[in-house]
Amino acid sequence: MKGIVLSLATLLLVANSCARLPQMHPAAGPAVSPYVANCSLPFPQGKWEFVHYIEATLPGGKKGFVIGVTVISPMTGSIDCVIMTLEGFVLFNARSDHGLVVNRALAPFEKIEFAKGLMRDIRLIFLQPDGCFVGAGLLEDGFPTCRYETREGETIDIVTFSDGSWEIRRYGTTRRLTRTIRASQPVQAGCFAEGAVPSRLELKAYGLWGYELSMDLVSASRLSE
Amino acid sequence: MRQGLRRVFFAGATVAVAFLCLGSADKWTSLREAAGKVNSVVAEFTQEKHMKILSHPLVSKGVFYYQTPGSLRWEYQSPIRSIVLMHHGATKRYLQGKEGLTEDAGANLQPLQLVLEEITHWLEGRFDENTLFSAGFEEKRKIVLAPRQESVSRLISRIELVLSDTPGLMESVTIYESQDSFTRLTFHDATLNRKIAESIFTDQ
Repeated sequence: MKGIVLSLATLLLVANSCARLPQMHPAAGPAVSPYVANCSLPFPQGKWEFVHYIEATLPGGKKGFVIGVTVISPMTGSIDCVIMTLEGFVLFNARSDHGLVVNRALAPFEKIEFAKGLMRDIRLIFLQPDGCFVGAGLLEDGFPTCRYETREGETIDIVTFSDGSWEIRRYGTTRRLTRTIRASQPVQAGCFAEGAVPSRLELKAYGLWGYELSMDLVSASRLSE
Repeated sequence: MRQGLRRVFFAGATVAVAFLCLGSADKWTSLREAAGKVNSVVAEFTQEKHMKILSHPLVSKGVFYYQTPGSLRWEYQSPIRSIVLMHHGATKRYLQGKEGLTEDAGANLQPLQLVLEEITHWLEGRFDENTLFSAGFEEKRKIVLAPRQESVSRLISRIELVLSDTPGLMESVTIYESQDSFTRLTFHDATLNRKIAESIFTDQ
């Protein structure tokens, strides 16, 4: 019985992680302009500091709650990241610029693979893909999309919805879905100094060691470069 | 108003003079004696997290309840609600999740428990009875705790406690992780020796 349950669970897990890269019907000529205009919608322009309250659901359903501080600069491509407890105790502090520098890493965040993975996730959320722009158009389900291909051979789709929300989907080299980032409707522009910022971001990592991050915005501040 | 200010000034001056006149050992005894008269504290607090990465300090607000001999409720009310309960040696933590306030059963509560136990020691006036930190007066009302072990100093480099004019109370606690990363707790609207229901330390 236990074996059957385990097999079913594995099947479900594999099925869940098997979503494959959908076909895109590219727009051409002047029709491509409105799609391209949405390509940069999820990505903050200029240097920003974000504070999020993060609920992490780890493999096995274990939950963790932390505060995340992220400073991103699209101009330099740099990311500063701090993870702390609600009591203000810093668990992780790192900077990714031309390389990765970990200033502080306490258990369970002490492995370098965690730091690399985290920076990759942050880059996917906040910075425009630095790969090759493949095209823009409509997906099979009718949603407008911008498609990029990274140097590593992964595909990133930026899907925008009519209510102003968006989703970023990353597909691996085998064209299987590896990450999604779903943003809620942006907070009204004017609540912050500039731009509209989603009040919630939900990141899902698929696969055997999949996890979920639910990130509620605490504050967003535009910084000078 | 003026009379109130004068009273505060005289109370402060009396404490300051008392500390200046006392030797270090006497100061600890005097603090323990003052704290011995306190059996419960209810106070509001403001927490400011300062870090180089932050353009403004991250501010949280809450309330805490303390009852001798070691029961504590530490509750953040904004920006995120969370509660830590310490009662009969057991620590529980509740955090705001997508499905409401839930117990953080999987978390490593050891560092948090360490800090909370320290806070209860301070409230009991036991500043110098500590295996992890050595205590010393830096100014008339400021106590500095320095880690005794390297394993602790990697987490917390020092702690500064500023005592309140009211015996048995603290004005602020600053926990330094490094020179440019520290957490400052400022206490206000404190009431002493009020009867607190046990459920405050057991129920979320």
